[in-house]
Amino acid sequence: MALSRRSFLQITSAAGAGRLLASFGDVFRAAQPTPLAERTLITACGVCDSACGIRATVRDGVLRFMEGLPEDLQGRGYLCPASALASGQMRTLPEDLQGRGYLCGKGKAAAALLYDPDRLKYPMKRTNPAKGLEVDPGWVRISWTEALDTIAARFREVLDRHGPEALLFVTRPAPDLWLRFMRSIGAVNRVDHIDTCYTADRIVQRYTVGGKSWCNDLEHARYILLFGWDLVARNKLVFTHGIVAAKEKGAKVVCFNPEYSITARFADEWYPIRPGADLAVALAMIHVILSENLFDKDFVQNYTNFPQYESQIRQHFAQYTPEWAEAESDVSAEVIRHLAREFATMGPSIAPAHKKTLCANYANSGQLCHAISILNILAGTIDRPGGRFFPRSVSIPGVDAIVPPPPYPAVKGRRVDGKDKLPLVLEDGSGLFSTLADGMLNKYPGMIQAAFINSYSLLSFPSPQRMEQALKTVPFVVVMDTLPVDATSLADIVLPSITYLEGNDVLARDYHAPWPQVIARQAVVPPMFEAKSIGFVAVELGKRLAPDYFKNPDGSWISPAAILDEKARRLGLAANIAEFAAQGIYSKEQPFVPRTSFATPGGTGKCQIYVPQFPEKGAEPLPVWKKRRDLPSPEFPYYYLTFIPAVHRRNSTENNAILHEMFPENAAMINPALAARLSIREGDRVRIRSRAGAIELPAHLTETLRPDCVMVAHGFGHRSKLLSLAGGKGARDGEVIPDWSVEEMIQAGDWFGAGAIMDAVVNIEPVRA
Amino acid sequence: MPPAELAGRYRFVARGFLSTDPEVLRQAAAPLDPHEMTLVEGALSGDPTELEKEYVRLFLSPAGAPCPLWQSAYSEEGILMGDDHASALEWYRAHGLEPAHDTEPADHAGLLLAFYAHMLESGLSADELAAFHQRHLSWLSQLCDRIAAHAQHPFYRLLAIMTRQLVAGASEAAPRLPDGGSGA
Repeated sequence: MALSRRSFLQITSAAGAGRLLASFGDVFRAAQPTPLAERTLITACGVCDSACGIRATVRDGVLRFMEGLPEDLQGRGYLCPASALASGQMRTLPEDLQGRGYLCGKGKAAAALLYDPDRLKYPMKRTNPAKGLEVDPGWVRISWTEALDTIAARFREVLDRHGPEALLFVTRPAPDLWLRFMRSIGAVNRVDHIDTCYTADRIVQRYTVGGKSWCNDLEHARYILLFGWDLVARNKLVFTHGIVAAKEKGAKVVCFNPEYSITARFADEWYPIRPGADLAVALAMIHVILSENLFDKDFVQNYTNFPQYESQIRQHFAQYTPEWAEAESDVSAEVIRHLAREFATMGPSIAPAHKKTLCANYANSGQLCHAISILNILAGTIDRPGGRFFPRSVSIPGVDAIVPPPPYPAVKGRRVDGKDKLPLVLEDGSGLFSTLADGMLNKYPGMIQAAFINSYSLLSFPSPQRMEQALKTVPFVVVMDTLPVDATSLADIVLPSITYLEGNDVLARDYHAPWPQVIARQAVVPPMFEAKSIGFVAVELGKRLAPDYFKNPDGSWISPAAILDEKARRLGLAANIAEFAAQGIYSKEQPFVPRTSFATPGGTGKCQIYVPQFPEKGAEPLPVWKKRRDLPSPEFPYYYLTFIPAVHRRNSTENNAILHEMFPENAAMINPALAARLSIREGDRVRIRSRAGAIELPAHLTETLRPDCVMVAHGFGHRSKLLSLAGGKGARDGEVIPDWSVEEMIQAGDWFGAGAIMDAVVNIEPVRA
Repeated sequence: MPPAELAGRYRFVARGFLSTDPEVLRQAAAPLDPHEMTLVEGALSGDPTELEKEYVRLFLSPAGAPCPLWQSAYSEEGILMGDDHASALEWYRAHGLEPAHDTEPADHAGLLLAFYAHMLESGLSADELAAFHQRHLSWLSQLCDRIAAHAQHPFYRLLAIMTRQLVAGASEAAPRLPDGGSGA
């Protein structure tokens, strides 16, 4: 038998291994038989909520390669750049419906997050009581047990002394185990970023058509009307595919955006609308469609409350003439008329609204979302081919269905974000980022005694500088994350979180679901270092603080793994999650049957153009014109816009080595005409100042922006030293955006809780050396 | 220097990158010469918590570690679990060994140094030693540069100097702390 040099070495040296083990047995062990075989695993991307399908190649415990999943309706076999570049290679598999075999860059670069040297690795506690972004906390490692015991003890003390209102959770309401934990202790103060993203649209869609849907059947639309919508630039592959497919089939695309955006480049007509005036154009388009009776008669008569409220509706929109809208929006009356006529007659037509696009983030965005919803209703395409449709989703049983809890305690106490003053937001269940700092600093100073922050950075807030002040008033702060975000520096305890590539879940698809699809998310590699899931933390804190809610009927503790197995079993997918993960995706094609009844409040089964429930909740039953929150003035003459670059996700990917190389730093985008007036050249440092704060960054001159605007990418300006790549790079866009009080929100007529993060006006000046 | 003595020095610096327990470090310092032991003893004489705080600040800090301990972090890609991890694992396995914690990268400075100590005592050829040294120890000069730039605690300043000298093959020279910095 021929013996290779290596194997000879192995045989001769194995006997000597004991010597090393004697002195370093804590860090070495005798080699085990190694599964050297390469494995291919299916999972779901977790960079954004699209959850595109991924096929991951793992060699010897290391993720080597990721590609889109061709069977997947959502990613349709593609990965976005954030996922793909991770492995340095990408491949396209065009059969899949959603990613179509692709992953976007964010998805593909995800391994660079998994293996980021800056990752949080072990639980830690601070030893220096002084807090500040520039103060060394004196971190020391602690065990998970010590971390959980400490958190539970402090939370217990706060609950006993101050009640549940003194606990703040800056977390999503997911996963179900975490929600159960918060409910089990009667948590009243939970906030997440949804108000700066899509709360307004979610509320409006529920009342007008019976539920928020992400599904836009762009592919079968003949006319696509986009208010600020730039999801192609967000790298939401499913929508990119839709726009491209629609264009291939000859659809017309019209785009309103102060910037000639990535999506605008697909448009047949682009209108550089005045920021915050989309509402005026939408109202005037409704005016034209109604006054000329161009709406879809069958749909409007049979499936909406138009017949019941026709006179109110017609009378209301009579005031919003195209000539009036022209004066507000810089879009000509003639254009508004011709677009309204085309939209109503060239269909199927669709006007999507989605997430952090320009339209969902003005103080008047609730009104705008209502107007957009009415346009879709008048086009007759709600849940129809070529329109917005409801996902044919699968309801995944939650932990409360699998192990019913004892009755939860009543939710009592003051709301630090003031959302109890906004009935529509209160029933929506989301909290408010934009009013949180005001609540903590001005309304209820000292009320919050402990906070738990999961996967949110200070950058997520308007006026992060105010949020930093607010967090410093909290005596005990826990931060759980994958990376050292800004908030980590203010934490008392830091918990290392897994990435989606290290965790298990079962997910229903809702971004493009003409038929039911379920996808498995499985750990393609074991968690790095001592990272754990938020589900684990929920159960462990639950055991310590509310044990009755975390027991199975036989008295044993609830196990996140067993819950997942049971979900897979109850869905009829497989005997357990591992078995389902081996299949990866469930997707069963079924004919699309359009809805004839719509689950709007009030029980009529009709879409509601006129929302009779709104007045009792503060809002108007029909959308009314409201100006944006801040208008240009001599002191602050320019509009301030922000955007998320295509290769980044919110503010969580800037330290990704691959994505950092693609988009390392933000700049102040300024039209050359404005720059010339202000004597600013390409690359000059400029100071952008608003009533909230000021930032400095280099100028980038671009013809793509209206000359009365400045635009800055979100997600940069992580504080120095925090992240080895992103730390200190660029400016925090939010420092210029005023946060506000709930009273100001109400005064602005924003009953829908929109974060108003696009409403800032600023001054721009060159910084002379 | 006889291999066993050299191995003892490697074991000490390896332990320096793995443990913040002063007692463990003192024991690991036993093979050093008396002058070095005095320096180590002096460097370890303060509050033990300060050692852990400095270790975390330099190597693990949730405020951004200035001196990551993994070779892959110094590669062009700059991410963990790269080729350096795979190569180190291959070396360990060829010697019947592997890291005890399989959720951590194999190219940790402490593991690499401990393994090299083991190689020195296993009577391997000079070629074999040189191959590992070149592949997996030469980057440590970069780590030591960073520690020198960032360390405030005398133990890590000393550790960086000793490691650099060992890896540079200048192990016979007794370590001296710069700028009158005193471990004693």
